[in-house]
Amino acid sequence: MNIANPVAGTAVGAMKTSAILTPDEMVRTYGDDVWRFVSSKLPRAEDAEDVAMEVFGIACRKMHVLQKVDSPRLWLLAVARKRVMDCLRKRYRRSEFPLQDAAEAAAPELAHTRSHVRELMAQLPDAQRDALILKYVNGLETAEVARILRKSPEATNSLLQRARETMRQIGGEVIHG
Amino acid sequence: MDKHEENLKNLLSNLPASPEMPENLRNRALNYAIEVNRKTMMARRPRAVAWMSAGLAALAVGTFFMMPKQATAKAWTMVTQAVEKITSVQMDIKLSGAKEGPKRIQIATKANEFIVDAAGESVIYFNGEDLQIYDSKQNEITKLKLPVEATTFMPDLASEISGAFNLKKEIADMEKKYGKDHIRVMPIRQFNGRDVYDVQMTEPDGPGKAFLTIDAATDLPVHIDASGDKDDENVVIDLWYNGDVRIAPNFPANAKIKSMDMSNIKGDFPKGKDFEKMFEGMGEAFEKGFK
Repeated sequence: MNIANPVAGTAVGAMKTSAILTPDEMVRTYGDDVWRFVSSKLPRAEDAEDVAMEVFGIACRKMHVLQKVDSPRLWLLAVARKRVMDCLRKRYRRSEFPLQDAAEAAAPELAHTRSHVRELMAQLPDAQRDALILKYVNGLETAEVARILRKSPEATNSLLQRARETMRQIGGEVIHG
Repeated sequence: MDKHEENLKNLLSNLPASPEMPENLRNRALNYAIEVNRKTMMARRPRAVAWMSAGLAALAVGTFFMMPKQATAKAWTMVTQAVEKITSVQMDIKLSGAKEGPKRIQIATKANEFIVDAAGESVIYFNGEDLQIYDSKQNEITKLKLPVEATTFMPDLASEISGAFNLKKEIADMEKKYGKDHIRVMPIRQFNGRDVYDVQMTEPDGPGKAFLTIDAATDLPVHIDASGDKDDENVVIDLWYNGDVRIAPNFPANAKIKSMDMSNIKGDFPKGKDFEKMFEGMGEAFEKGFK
C-alpha cells in the first residue's frame, strides 16, 4: 500500500476536501476513529498508544497529502492499518505476549468479554478481522471498507459475509445471545 | 441489519480499549500536531528548502549575468566617445602659473543658455532672450535686448565662446599630445559613493602630465588635473553634465543696470568670432594649462 496516498487511484481520491485541515483539527476530528481501530487490533495499551502517535506523526508530516485527499478519515485508517500490521509483525518476531491491559485492569468485568472476543477474532484471517472492525467498530460503509482494503465492494461484501458466518459458527451463544 | 449482525456489532464494540481516545494520548497527539503546525513548511521539507535555495541562487546568478553593467575593463576610447556626445557641460576651471596669477573661470552651456564667469570680474550671461554683461570695475550690468536674428544666432555664439574651452577638442588634443601608449586607464574604484576610474597621462618627452577622474557610469571626466611644461603651470577642472549643469548668474545686488533695446537694429549683428575676442585671454590661459 502506498502510505503517502493509500486511496490514490480510487474513487475516494477523486473527491477533494473542501476545507484546509490543520494538524490539530485532524487529531480532534479523527483521533477517536484511529484509536478505536488501533486499540481493537492491538491488545497492549502501550502498543496502541505508540501506533496511534505514529499514525498522527505520519499524518502531520504528510499534511500536504492529507489536505488533498477527499476523506482524511479513510486515509488515516489506511495508515493505521499498515502501522498496526507492522507492529504485530515486530511483536511476533520478538515473541512478545500481551501484558494485562490497563483498561482491563480498570474495568475487570469487561476483561473477560474483550478477551473472549479477541480469541474469536484471532481465528479469522487478517482481512476478515480488519473488515469486521472497520465495519462494526468504526462504522464505515462497505464501499469505504473496500477502499481501505484495496478490494472491490463486491469482494469486500463477500469477505464480510464469510467473516460474519465464521463468527456465527465459532461464537456460539456469545453471538446468538 | 439482522439480529445476528446486531449482536456481532455489540460484541465487537467491546474490542477497543475505550470508545474515545484516552485524554492523555489525545493531549500528546495535539501537542505534537500544534508543534508541527508551528513549524514552517520549509522546516518540514528540507529537500524543498534545498531546491528553493538552489533555485534562488541560480536566479541570482542568472540575473547578475543578464543585468546591464559597466564594463569591468575601461578603455580610453570609451572616454573620447562619451565626450563626443556631450550636449551641456559646466566647467569650473582653476588656472595657476599664468602671468596674471591664479585665475578662476566658470563656463556653462545648456540648450540656448550660457554663462561665462571670469573670476567675477566680468560675466556674460545669455538666457535665451537677453544678453547680460557684467563689468565689476563699473559694477554695472548691461542688459541687451537682442533682435530676433541675434537670439537665433546665440546658440552658435555660445558654442563659439565655449569653443575657446572646447572639452572635446581638449580631450582630442590630450590624446594627440601624450599618445595612446602613454595613457593608462586604472581599475574602477569607489569615490563619494560612486564608481570612478582614473586615467593617467604622461608626456613621453617632457614633464607634462595629466590626471583625469572619470565617472564609470557615463565615462565622462569629472575632474581633470593637468600640469604644463613648467612646474608652476597647472589647470584643475571640475565638470558637471546634463541635469547637473547650473546656469544662474550671481550679479551683485547693488550693481547698476543699463538696459539697451537693440531689438529694432537692422543689419549685420556681430558674429561669434567677434565675441570670442572678448575671451581670448581666458582661452590662452586654458591652453597653457595643457601645453
